Amino acid sequence: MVKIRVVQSGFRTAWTHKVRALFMILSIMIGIAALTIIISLGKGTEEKIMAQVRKFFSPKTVMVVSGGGRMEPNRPVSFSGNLKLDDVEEIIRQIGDITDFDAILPVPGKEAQANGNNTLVDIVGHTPAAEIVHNLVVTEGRFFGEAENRTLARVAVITPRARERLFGTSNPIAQTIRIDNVPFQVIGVIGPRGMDPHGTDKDNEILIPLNTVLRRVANVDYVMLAKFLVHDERRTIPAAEQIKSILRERHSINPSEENDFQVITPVRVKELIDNATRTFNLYLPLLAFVALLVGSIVVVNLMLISVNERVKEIGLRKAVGARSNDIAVQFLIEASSVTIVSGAAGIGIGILLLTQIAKYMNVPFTISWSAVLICSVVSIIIGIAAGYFPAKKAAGLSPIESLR
Amino acid sequence: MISISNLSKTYKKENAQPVFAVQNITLHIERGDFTAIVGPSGSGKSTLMNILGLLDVPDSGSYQFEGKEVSLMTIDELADIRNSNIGFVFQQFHLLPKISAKENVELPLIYSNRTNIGGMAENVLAQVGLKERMHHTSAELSGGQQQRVAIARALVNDPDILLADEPTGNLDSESGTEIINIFKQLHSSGKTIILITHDMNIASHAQKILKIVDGKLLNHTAVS
Repeated sequence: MVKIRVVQSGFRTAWTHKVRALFMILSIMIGIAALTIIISLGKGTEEKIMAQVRKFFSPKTVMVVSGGGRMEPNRPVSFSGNLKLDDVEEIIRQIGDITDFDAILPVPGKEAQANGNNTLVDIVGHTPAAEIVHNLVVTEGRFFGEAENRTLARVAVITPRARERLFGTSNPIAQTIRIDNVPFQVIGVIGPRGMDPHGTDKDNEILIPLNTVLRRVANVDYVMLAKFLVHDERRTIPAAEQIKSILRERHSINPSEENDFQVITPVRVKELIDNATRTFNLYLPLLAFVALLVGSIVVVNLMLISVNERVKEIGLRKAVGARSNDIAVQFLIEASSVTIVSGAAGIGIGILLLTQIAKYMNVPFTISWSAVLICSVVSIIIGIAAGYFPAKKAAGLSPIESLR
Repeated sequence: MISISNLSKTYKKENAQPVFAVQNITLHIERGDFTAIVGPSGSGKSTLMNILGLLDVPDSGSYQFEGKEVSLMTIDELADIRNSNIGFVFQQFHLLPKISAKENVELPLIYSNRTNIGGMAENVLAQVGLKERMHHTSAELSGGQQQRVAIARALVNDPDILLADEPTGNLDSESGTEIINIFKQLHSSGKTIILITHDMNIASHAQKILKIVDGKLLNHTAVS
């Protein structure tokens, strides 16, 4: 049976050797703080990415991108230019439950002039349903309609940065923008959207009806991508499979050949994000864990040195009636109380640093409570493991040998 | 109280001749005795004290403590007897340097089964005249005061026997006399005292002197 007074004595003795306790705390605290920061930061980063992705990719979206390959790091997509509007229309015809769609052709880096100002903008051709598909918020004027798309109207909806660069503070509605010397009338302004997951500034775009871009700006007959909204998010996977078979048939792709397009579902996006955040969620915590392991080895060593330094004390305690078990408990309590305090300090410092790092990295401040739980459990395990061998050694010492 | 017969202890080291530390020792100590065990350095008196104090075990012979055979006891039972029945006083005091005199005195209480231990350390420190200095560490005490703290530690659990190994060996004569006077007072209050020393002057304060030479007990001398 463990005597409560032995436990109390262990807690007191842990702090009588202040320098040793300080180094033990430092060696564990740093690892725990790193683990808390990294796991929480990983969670915050993932949440930030997910929030961005949700803005551009709702759970009911299926996206088709022209070109083969896979959208993964170091595997560039080859934009093949063979996704035609006919393909998009056929997909809508065959899959009955598509509620809205947008076919998109971006033309990056075009010079736009208005009001005596000129700037480089990205021209993006959209179908009228883009307003719904992308949850666009029209802050002034209106979005273009089906008639304007069909008649190749030279109308433009501008974004906040493009507006500021071309018009400053003056009212842009009904003003003219010249793109490659072709005049477009501004009919609306949309609210800020920030960066997309690829790092494109969505606030420096000029949105133009798709057919107008195809014929008057880019002079091509294909789109880069199409987004489809299905009525139920459970329908995204079957719809994606259907789209694949429709496009393979229309593009005459042999069974042995790879797709010349990609179909991206919310599930696939989640996979891509998981891949991208693996460094944060797996490798960095692993590194912090190694640091923690090194810290625990330091604690074991300090405790073993402590046993060697305190041989006479152990002998004396045994002479005055301590059982071997009492000595073992004392050393276990000493090690674990120091590591528990180290763990708590590490979590505290980790959270404190996290507030600053999250601010600096522009990541939402998120405390991963699973990280806190893991760190607490790890500190207790380290304490017991670090105390076990020294405690066993101390308990096994003969009182008479120790007192000599 | 203590009954030893034909007790022997030999230390064996590799590539060295065995050392017969104590050989065939037979002795009896009654409750309330004040016994001195005297002998030159290396005579085996410390080995005998360690065996008497249940810190070491003999190779052969019988040792009965309060009528119970020690060789049949478990390590934990021996620890419990050391805690409640025996108080040790060492030549080097063996005080823990980082804690106060009071905390040193309280050490045996940590391992005791007593429930109400409040004030016990203060009482024994008062008994040895050190209550005023109970919050001082050993570095802040003189040699004589340190040994008095060690005696208080030995007394705190109210043991039957006090075992003192050269308790005045590291002290000047004045402090040594103080310590011996404390032992005499404790004896008169009924404690059993076993004093190990090489100094006949110190031993002369005991009721009974046992001489040990080369691990063998020579004779009993009764001191009036």
